[in-house]
Amino acid sequence: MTAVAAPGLLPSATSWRHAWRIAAARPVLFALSMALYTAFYCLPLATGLFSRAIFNTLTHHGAPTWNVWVLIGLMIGAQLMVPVVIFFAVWVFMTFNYLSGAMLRRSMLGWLVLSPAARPPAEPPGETLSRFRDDVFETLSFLEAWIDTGGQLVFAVVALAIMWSVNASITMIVILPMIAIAVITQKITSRIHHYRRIAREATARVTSFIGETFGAVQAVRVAGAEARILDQLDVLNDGRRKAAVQDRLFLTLLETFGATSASFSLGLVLLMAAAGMRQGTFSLGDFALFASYIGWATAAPRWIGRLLARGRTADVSIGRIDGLISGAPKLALSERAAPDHAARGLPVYGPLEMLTVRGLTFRHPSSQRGVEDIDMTVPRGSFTVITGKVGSGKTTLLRTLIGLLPASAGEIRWNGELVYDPAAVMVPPRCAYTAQSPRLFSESLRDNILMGAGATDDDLRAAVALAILDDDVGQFDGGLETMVGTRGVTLSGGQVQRAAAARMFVRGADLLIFDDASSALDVRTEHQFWTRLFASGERTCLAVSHRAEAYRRADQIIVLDEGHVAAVGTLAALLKDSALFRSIWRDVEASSQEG
Amino acid sequence: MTTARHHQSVLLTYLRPQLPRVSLLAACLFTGIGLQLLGPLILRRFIDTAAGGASVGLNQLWLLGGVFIASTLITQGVQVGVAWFSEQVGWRTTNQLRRDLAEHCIHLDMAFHTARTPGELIERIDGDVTALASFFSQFIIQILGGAALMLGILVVLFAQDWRVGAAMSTFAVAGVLLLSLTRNIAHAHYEKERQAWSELAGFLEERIGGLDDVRANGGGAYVMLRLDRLAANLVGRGVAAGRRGLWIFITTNLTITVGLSISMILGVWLFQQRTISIGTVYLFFQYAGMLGEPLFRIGGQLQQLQQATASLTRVGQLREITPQILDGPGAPWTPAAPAVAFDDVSFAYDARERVLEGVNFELAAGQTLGLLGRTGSGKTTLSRLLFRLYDPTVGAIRLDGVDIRQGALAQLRSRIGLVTQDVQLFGASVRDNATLFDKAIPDARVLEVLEDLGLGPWLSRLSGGLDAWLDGNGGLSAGEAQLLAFARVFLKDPGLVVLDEASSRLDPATDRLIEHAMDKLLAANHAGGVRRTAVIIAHKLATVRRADQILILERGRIVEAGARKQLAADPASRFSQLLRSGIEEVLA
Repeated sequence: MTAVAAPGLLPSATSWRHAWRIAAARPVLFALSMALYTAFYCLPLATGLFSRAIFNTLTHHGAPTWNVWVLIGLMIGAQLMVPVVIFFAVWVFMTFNYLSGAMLRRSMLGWLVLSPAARPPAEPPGETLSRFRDDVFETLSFLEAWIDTGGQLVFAVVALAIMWSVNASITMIVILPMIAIAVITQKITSRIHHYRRIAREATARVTSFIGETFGAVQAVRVAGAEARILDQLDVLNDGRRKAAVQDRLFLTLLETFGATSASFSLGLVLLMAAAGMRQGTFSLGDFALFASYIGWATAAPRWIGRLLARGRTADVSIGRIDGLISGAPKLALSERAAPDHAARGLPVYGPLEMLTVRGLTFRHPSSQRGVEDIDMTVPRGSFTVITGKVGSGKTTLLRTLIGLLPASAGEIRWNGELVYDPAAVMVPPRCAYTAQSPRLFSESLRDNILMGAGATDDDLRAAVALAILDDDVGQFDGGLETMVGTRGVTLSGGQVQRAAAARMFVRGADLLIFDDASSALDVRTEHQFWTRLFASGERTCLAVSHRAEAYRRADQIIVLDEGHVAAVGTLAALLKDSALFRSIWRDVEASSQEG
Repeated sequence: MTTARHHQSVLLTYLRPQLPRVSLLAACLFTGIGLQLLGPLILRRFIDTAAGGASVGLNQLWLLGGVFIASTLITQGVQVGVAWFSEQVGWRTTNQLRRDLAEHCIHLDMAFHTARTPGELIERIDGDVTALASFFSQFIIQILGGAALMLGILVVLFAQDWRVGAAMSTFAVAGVLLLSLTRNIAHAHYEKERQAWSELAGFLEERIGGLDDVRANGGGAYVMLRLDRLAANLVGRGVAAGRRGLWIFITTNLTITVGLSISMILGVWLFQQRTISIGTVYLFFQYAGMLGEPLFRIGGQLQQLQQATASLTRVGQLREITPQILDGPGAPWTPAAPAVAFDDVSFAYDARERVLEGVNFELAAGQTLGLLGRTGSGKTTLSRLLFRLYDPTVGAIRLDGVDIRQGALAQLRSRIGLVTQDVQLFGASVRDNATLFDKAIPDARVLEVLEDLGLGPWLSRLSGGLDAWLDGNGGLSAGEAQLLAFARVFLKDPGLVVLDEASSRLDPATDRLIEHAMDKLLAANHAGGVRRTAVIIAHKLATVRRADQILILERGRIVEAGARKQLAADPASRFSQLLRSGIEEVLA
C-alpha cells in the first residue's frame, strides 16, 4: 500500500514542492489566475471605503467629501466590476486546472506504460483508477486553495491596515480572537488528515468492488450470487458513509469556527465601540467599514487553515500517486512533456545469438514464493519449454526475465552483453510476450494486434496467419476492423489468446516469450500453431507449456520445482533422468489417453 | 416536463425514508435563518441608541452587544447540526441509489455488459451518483431555506416602509425568475463533460488491467497517443462546462448589485426626507446584502441542479435499459439432477450470423455429456444458453421437460453450476471468494471443500486462513484460482453442472487434483445420493472418458451424437477417428 507521511499540522514539503512544480509547468496561466482572483477578492475593499464615506456624509461626521449620490454611484460601479473579473478568472483558472489534470494523468500513465523501472500496481484496477480520478482532483484542489488563499490574504492585510488607521485599539481587539481561533483550528485540522485517508480508502473499496462485480458479472449471475453481492455492496457503502460523515464533520467544524470568529469579533467591536459611538469618537461610517471588512479580514486564519487542510488532503493523494509510480523520479509528477523514459545510452543489443541467465532470483513480498537462482541458456533458433507443477514459478520466471517483476539477484546477458534493465531491453524489437491471461482492449482487432507497431499490411496478415487467427478474421463481418468489446469479450477465449499471439508476432521480435499460449486452443489448432511457428526454423522461442507436442518439439525443457531449476534436458533425456519430470509426463499421458 | 417529473419522483423516493433526518436538518436550518434575521435588527437598535448621544446608558449598549455575541455562538452549533444531518441524508440516499443501480445493472442482459467496461460502470454507478449527493442532501432544504430567508427579509422591510418592501420584493421576484431562466445554459455541457470522463475512465481501467501486455510488447507510446486524444476532449468539455456554469454566478451577482443599489438609493432618500432613522438605513444596507445570500443559495442549487440533472439524466437512461431475459412464472423443479433437452435450438448474438443452428439432443438425468468441437464451434454459447445468459433465437431448452423460460432465473441458476477457465476474484477474504459472500455457509463446510480439492496446502500458506485477503489477482496461480472456482460449485451443490474448458490451463499435477474433483462432483449431489447431470466441454480424452453421451459440434451444428461406447466402437464415426488420429491429445 501507499506510504503516507505522518499526520502533522503542516502539509509535507513534498506536497508544496509537487504543487509548485505543477504551477510552474504553466507559469502564465497560473500567474494570471492568481492576479485575477486577487483582484476579485480585493474589490470589496473599495466597497467598504465607499460605504464608510456614505454613512459619514449622512451623519455629518468629519469634513464632507463628495456628494452622497456620487459616492453611491462609485460603490455601484465597484460592484459591477465583480462579474467581469470573475468571468475571466474562472476561464483562465479552469483552463489551467484541466490542463494540469491532464498533465498529471499523462505522467502517471506514461510512467506505468513507458518507464522500464515502473512495476504494475498490485491492486485492483478500480483502486488505481481512483488514484487517476480522485487523487488527481485532490492534488489540484490544493493549488486552487493557493490561488484562493493568496487573493484573500492580500485583502486581509490591506483591510487590517485600513482598520488600524481608523482605530488601532479596536483593531487589536479584532485580531486577538483570530489568534485563539487559529489555535483551535489547528487542533481540529490535525485530525482531518486521518479521517480523510480513511474516507478515501473506503471510497476505493466501493469503486473496486463495483469494478470487480461487473468484471465478473457472468460468474455472479450464474452463481445466483446477485443478492449477496448487493448486500456486500451495502456493507461497503455503509463504511464509506461513516468515514465520509466524520471527514465532513471535522471540515465543517473548521469552516464554521472561522465564520463564528468573524461574528464574534463584530460583537466585540460593538462592546468596544459603545462608548466611542455615544461620544462621537467612533463614527457610524467607521462602524460600517469595520462591519464590511471584519468578515473576510478575520477569516484569514480560516483561509490559511483551509489551505493547510487541503494541503494535508493533498499529502494523502500525492502519497497515493507516488505509491502508484513509486520509483519514478519525483520530477515525473509535473513534467510537462511526455516522460521520456525510453532507455538512453544503452549498449547495443544486436540480433539475438545467445541469451544467458545466471542466478536470477525474485520473491513475491507477500507470499515469499518466487524463483531462485535460475540458470538457463537460450541459443538463437532454439525452442525452450519451461514446465513444472502449479505454483512452481513458471510465470514468475518469465515475468522476472522481461522486467515485469524486479529481480533481486542474478544477471541476464544478451549476446554476452549484460542487460542492466530487463524492462528496457527485453521489449520489441528484441523480445515480445504473450501473457497467461492476455488482455485485449475495447477497440478494433487491428488496433489491438498492432498496438502502435508500424507494421505493413503484409506483416499484419502474416502475424494473423501465424497465430491461426486468419480463418476467424475471415468469418468476422468487419474482418480486422471488428470491435472486440470490453477486454475482448466478443471473442472466444481461444480467439483472445490467438489475437494476443498475433500481437506478439507482428512485433517481429528476435525472441518470442509466451506463457502457455496454447492453453485455450483445441489440439488441432494447437498442432497448426506449432507447425506454422516452426516452419521457418528461424524463430527463437521461450514458452511455458505442459503439452506433449511442445515437449516433443523442444530443444530443451527446463523443469521448475518450488522456484528452482530441478532438471534441464530434452524430452528423452528427462524421461530417463528426472523422476519429477516422469511424474509430470505420466500426468500428461494419463490426461491424454482414454482410460 | 416528463424528465422534471422523473427527477422529482427520484428525489422523493429516496428522501422519504430519510424523513426524520430531513426534519431535523430543516429545524437546524430554520433556526439558523431566524438568527440571521435577528443580527441586523440588533445592530439597528445599537446604532440608533448610540446616536442618542451621551445621555444613553452604556449598559444598554453593552447588553445589545452581549445578545449579538450569544447569537453567534448558537449559530455555530446550528451549523454543525446542518452539516451532520445533511451529510447523513446525502450518503444514505445516494448509497441506496448506488445499490439500486448496481442491482439494475447486474440483472441486465449480457449484451449490455459486453458493450461496457467495468470502469465505465464504476463511473455510472458511483461517479454520477456522487455528483448527486449534495443534490439529495441540500436541494429542497436550501431552496426552502433560501426562500424563507428571503421572505423574512422582505416582511421586515415592508414593516419599515412599504415602498422599500415593494421595490425589494419586485427585485427579488425578478432575480429568481432571471436565475431560473439561465439555469439550463450549462446542462448539456455538463453532460458532455461527464461523458468525456467516463470514456477516459473506461480507457484507463482497461489499460491499467492490461499493463503487462502493453509494456512487454512496447505498446506504451500507442496507449499514450490514445490517452492524449481522450484527455484533450475532457479539457475542452470541462472548460466549456465551467464557463457556461459561470453564467449563473454572474447573473446572481448582477441581480444583487441591482438590489443593493435600490436599497441604498431608497434608504438615503427616505433618510433625507427624515422618514427613517440612520439605524434603519444601515438595516436596509445590511438586508440588501443579505438578500444576496438566498439568491446565491438558490442560484447555487440551480447550478448543482444542472450538474445533478446531467447525472440524473444518465441515471435515468441507465434505468430505462431493460433486460430481455426475464423471470418466468415458475417451474415445478426439484433440487434433484434434471434431464436436459435441447429442442431445435438456434442462436445468434446478433442478426448476422447464427452461432448455433438446429441443435437437438436429450440427456437423461444423472448422465454426463461430453461436448466436443473446435474453438468457436459454439460450445461455450451452448452452455450460456443453459444458464439463460442468452435466450435461444429459435427453439427451446427444457429441464425435466419444462422450458427453462418457465422458471424464475434464480430458480434455474440455483440448479446449475458452472466452472469456466476464467476465474474472477474479488478483493475480499478467501471465505467470501469461495462462498461468493454467502454468509450462511459454515466455515467447517468451506474448509472441508477446500481440503477435498487439494487447496489445503495453499490455504495453510496464507496468514489468516479463511480470513486471508485476496486481491484482484494476488498470490493465486491460475490452477489454484480454478480450483477455487470448483469450490464455488461444490458449495453451491447444484443438480446440473457445466464444465467449460475447465482443465485447459493446468499443469499435470493440478490436472490430477481437478480429475479427482470432477469425479467427486459427478458422483453425487451432496444432498441426495443420485449422480449429477453434467455437460463437459473438454479438450482432452481423459475428460471425455467420463461421458455417457458424446456430441460433436461444428460451426454451430451437431455433426455427430450418440452413446460414447457405441461411437468408440464404430470405426466410421468421427469420434473413433479422433481416437485413432495421430495426435494423441485429440481434439475435444
